[in-house]
Amino acid sequence: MFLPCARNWRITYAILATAEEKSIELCYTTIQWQIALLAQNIWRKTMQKYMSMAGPMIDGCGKLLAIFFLTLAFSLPLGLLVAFGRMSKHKIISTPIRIYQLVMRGTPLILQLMVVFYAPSFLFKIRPSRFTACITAFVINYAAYFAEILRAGIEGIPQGQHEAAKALGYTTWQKYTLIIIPQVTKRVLPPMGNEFMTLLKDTALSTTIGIAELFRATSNAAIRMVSVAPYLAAGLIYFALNSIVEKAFQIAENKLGYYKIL
Amino acid sequence: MVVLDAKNVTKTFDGAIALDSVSLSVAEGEAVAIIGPSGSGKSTLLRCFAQLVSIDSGEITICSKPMVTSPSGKAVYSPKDQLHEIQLMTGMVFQSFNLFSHFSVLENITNAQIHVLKRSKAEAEHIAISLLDKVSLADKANAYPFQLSGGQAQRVSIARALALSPKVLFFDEPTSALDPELSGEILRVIKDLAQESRTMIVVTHEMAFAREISDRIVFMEEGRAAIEGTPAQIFENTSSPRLRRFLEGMDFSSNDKS
Repeated sequence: MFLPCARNWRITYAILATAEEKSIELCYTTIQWQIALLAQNIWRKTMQKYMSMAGPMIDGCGKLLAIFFLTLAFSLPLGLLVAFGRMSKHKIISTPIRIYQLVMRGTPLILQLMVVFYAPSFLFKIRPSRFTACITAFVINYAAYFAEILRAGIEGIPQGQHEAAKALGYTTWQKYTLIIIPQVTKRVLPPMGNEFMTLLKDTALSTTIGIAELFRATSNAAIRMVSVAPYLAAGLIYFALNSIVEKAFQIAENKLGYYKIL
Repeated sequence: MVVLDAKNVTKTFDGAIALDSVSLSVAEGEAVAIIGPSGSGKSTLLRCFAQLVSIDSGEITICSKPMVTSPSGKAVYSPKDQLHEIQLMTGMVFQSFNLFSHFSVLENITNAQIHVLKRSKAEAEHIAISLLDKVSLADKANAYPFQLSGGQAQRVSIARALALSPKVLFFDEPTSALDPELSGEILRVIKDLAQESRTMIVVTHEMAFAREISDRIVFMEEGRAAIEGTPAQIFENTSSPRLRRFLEGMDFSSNDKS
């Protein structure tokens, strides 16, 4: 009789214990839930705060890269043209080009941006789009600098290369595309690296004519959040992007390192 | 057949007379050496023939094609396409080699063949390799100019000129930029070319070499072709004190090299 009794008790205890465990478990689960919800809430709020800053900043990076690449795409060919114009024997070509370069290099880019954006509406009652005005100002400014770098590169190629090309029957076009420009490319890489990196940072100036690039987005975020964190983030972004530019130039220099200009 | 015919070629640089009515005629297969003191206009004359310098007056005809004429005393150059055609008939070897730095040795020799003469890459390379063989540089085909010695670079530049099969070759002091011990290899290559009866004009300071390879020597002085004659006539000439003085001042020790 004892055994079954004890057995009953044990069963009862087992049932009770299970119930208690369950209820404790339930209790814990509830707390966990509450903590989780709270954490989630804080996380969501923080993320919202940061995302509200990150969204425009990411868009700003897009604008930055658009200005960077479009400026390069137009100002490099234009710069080459300007360089040849500057080297022209005819004063009627070289003098206006020198003056253009003097103006572009002698006045602040920030001022040029404003002139290109506001002047047409004063003069011709045409209002260019902010972005078009921005790209135009960057292109004509950077072409003036690129032209000087390219001119130095072209003039640095020994006269003998020109003479040999002529003697071998290359046309002037062939001489430049096959012989001169490839060697100029190697020569101008270090100063070009300078300009590319400066251009990437100079995109920030377009904020003056209301382009929502990285710096504008950063300033807005900093004001809204009453924090310098966005500036820190922007600094890191500029640095990271320019590190990529620097690496690209290093790779290009290595690629062209197989020969030496004699 | 006359390959190059120049009459009364005159050139001034900012009023200073570089060439004073120089006339020269070179027949096919002939090797002509031009000697003379520095500044006598030797190189300028060659550069006029190679269309690197434009003349003020006179006439130059290459392979019966007029490059420049002077109907009214002032030089008038032929149309551009004819000048280009003439350019391809002439080949130039420079004192400073002027190899294209960014091309390998092989590309230096093939590039103009491919882009100027429109030869196929395979054909151009075939020609380049046989020419490199000829100047004993087949093993340097993939080297770049900065990896070559002066003598090697000059041999490549000779191969580069030969690759376009010019009718006449101009050598502008081909050994002047080289150490004396390296000039021998260049002189040997040029001697071989002379023996193949290639038409050539060589401006040189190597008297022994000029004597050995040339059929005719022109002594230039103060922009004029002062004396012209066979090597024997020039080197045994006693009538001109200027020529004697010039030859006596030259170093003949290069005799044993070439």
